[in-house]
Amino acid sequence: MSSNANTHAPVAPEACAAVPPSARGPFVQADAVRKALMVVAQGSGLWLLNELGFALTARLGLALPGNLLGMMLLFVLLVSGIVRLEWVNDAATFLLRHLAFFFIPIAVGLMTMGELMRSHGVPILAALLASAAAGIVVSGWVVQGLSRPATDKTATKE
Amino acid sequence: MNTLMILGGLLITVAAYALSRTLHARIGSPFTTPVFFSTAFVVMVLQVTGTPFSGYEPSRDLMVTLLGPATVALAVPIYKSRRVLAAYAVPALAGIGAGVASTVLVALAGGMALALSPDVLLSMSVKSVTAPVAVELAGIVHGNVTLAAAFVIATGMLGTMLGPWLMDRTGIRQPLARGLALGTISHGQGTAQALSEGEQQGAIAGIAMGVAAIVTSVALPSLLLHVFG
Repeated sequence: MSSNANTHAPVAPEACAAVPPSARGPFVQADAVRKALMVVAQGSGLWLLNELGFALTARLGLALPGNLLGMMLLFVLLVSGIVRLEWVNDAATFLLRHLAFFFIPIAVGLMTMGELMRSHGVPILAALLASAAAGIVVSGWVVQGLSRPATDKTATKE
Repeated sequence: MNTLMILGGLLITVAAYALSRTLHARIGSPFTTPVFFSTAFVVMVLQVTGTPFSGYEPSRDLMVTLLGPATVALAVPIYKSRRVLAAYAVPALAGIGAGVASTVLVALAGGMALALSPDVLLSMSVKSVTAPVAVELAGIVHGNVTLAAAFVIATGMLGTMLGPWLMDRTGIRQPLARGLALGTISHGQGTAQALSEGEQQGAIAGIAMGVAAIVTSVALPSLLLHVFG
């Protein structure tokens, strides 16, 4: 229906993102603006689902992050066909490509924790390292052990 | 005045991020990765201008609210590769469950053995979950949100740098197993790493990241209740 058929690739080109220096020509801008508006409109939809997730977890008293419930809601809506992929794809691709951005303001908070890092940095790093190593090896072994006979069933892709 | 402060914090953060992306494309080094470089940049600006962290906090809160829609957006990659999950439902779910359980337990046991404080332990327990969910979950289990976010990012880096090497040593060769392990433990950064090994690995890693977030969110609060009373 809509005219954004070029966004189906899992890794979209650097079209709408953060205006790369090479794309500052006047003729590229109309398309960039249209794309940006699309991202904002679709993003508002994602935001609504997020709010709905938080409202539901609060109302039902669930110890579940509201945004996670919002994610599960969107998945169900997509699978059931109530929401079509192209209604959210542009904003989702944009937000996920720039996911790292949102961690910057959070990580800046570390400037208030210099003391803890100086006194406990080494044991913290040791625990993180051991935990990551254990998780990777255990989950890798379990999957490999349970699925050895099967091999190439995953060739089908959207 | 207050609005100006918020705007300033926002602008500096966006500028730092844009700069880090340009820089990282030219010089690919761990020190030019967006989160590391931009964080250092923003902290430096705050220091130089004599701004305390409390002056930056309102802009931080504004940006963090956008993490909500970003988390909801994670449903899209899961939806796109739902057939992979359906084909491997049993091994995938077992692997994610075992991975989540072992990484949380080792973090808690190791942290206790090293005499880390409950505040640090609680923040550590959420660290294998993708950051936007971890931030919310840290609040639910009464951990420290900033610490949790730092642990999440550190875990992403550790798993990405160490994971492939470790799996080579431990005989984990099946693409599905490698991708799933990276996504389960090292969330977004692990998924990016898995994608560089292959499309199949990347798809399953993306699913594993989302499912691990669900599994952890559902199971962790009651587990911690047992551990800490």
